[in-house]
Amino acid sequence: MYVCNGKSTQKDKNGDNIVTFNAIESLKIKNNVFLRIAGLAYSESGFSLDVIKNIPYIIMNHHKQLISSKVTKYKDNWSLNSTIIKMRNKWNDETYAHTFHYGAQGNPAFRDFLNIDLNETIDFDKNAEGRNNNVKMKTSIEYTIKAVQYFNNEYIDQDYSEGGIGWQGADICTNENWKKWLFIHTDHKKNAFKNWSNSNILKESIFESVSVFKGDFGTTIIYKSTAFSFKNSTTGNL
Amino acid sequence: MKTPIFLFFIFIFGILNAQNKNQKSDYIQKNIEFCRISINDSLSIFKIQENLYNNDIEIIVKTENVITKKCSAEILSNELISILNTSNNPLIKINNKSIEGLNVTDFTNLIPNKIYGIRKPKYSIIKIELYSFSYSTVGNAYINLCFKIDKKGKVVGKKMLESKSSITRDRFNKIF
Repeated sequence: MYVCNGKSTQKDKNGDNIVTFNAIESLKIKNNVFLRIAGLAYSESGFSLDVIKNIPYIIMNHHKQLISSKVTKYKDNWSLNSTIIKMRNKWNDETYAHTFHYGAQGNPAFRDFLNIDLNETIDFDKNAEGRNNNVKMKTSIEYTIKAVQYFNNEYIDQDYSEGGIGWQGADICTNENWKKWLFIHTDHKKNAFKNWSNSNILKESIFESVSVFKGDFGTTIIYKSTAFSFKNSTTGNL
Repeated sequence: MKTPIFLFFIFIFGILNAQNKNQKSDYIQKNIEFCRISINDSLSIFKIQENLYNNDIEIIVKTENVITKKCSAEILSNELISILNTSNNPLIKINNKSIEGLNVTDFTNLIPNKIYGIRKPKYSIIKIELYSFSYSTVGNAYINLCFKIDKKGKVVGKKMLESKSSITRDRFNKIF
C-alpha cells in the first residue's frame, strides 16, 4: 500500500490535465490489512471521533505487546493481521460483516465502511472513493496511516491511545468479572462508567483505564495492561 | 473462649442452611467456581461439576482464555486428553448422559460464569451461562446453555442462546 501527501494537476505533453500524487511512499502494509484496521476503528467506535483515532494505535500496541513477549506462538510467524483477527474475536471478514450473533445480523457499520449489502461478497476496494465523503471513515483512514507509521517507527509523534491495548463498551458495567479485571481511575469514572466500582486495587488488577470517550452510540473505555499483569505474564495477559 | 467456638458453629450452620434453602427454592442463581487447566499457550480447559435440584451437571469447556486463574495442581486425566481431540465445545453431561448438539463455534475465549435453575411442577430448567471474553467490543457476549429436565432427570429440551447482556429471570422463565 502507498500513501501520498496530496494531489496536483499538471498538463501532459498534449496539454491535457493529468492528476499526480505527491510524495508517494510505501506504507509497508497490505491494502486489506490496512482497511481491516480502519474498518474496525470506524465500526467499533460508537461513532466517536476520538475512539476512531485511538483504535488503530491500540491494535499496534496490542501487536507489539504480543510479539515482544516470550510466548512461542507470538515469536516467529505471528502477523499484524493475526492480531487484528484476534481482537475481532477471531472472526473473519464474512462473519464480522454478516453472521447473526447476539441479536444482530453482522456489523452494519462495517458493511457501510465497505459499502456492501448484507451477505454481499467482501470487497475492500468497492468504497475506496466513497470513504472520502464520510468524515469518520476518512478519519479512520488518516489515523490508521499514522498508526502504521508509528508501528514502523517512521512517525515521531504521540501514541494517540497512550499505551492502550483494548477497548470496551458500557456492557461490561454489569459484569462482575470485568470489575475484578479492570481498574478504572477516578478521572475516567464518567458517562456510562460513572457508577463503576473497582473490585480490586490497582496493584491487583489486570488492566487499568487510559481514557473514556462518549460517542453518538455509547461510551467507550480504553485500557492497558497493569504492572501487576506484566509480573504474571510476559504478554501482559493478552 | 466458648463464645468464638459458638459463633463459628452458628456461622457454619448458617451456610449449610442457606445452601439447603437454595436447593428448596424454586429459583437458584450462583456463581460457578472454577480454575483453568492450562494445556499450552493457546488452549486451556475448564472442568465444572455442579448439582442443581438433584441433577448432576458436568461441563468441560475448551478455551483460549489466559486471564483467569490457573489451577494450582490438576492432573490431566485420559478423559480430558481425549476431549482435546474432539471438535465439539463444550462437552456436557447431565445425570451422566452426554448432551449432543450444542456446539459453540464462533466464540473461543469462553469463561464459565453462572448457573441458574428454575423448578416447576413437572420439570426444572437449568441454564449454564458462559461469558465470551474479548479484548475489544467485538465478541463480548453471554452464551446460555439451557436444559429442560423432567422429574426423572431426563433432558427433554435444550437450547443455546447468545445475548449481549445477562438474560433476565423473566426471559429465563420463558425459555421453554
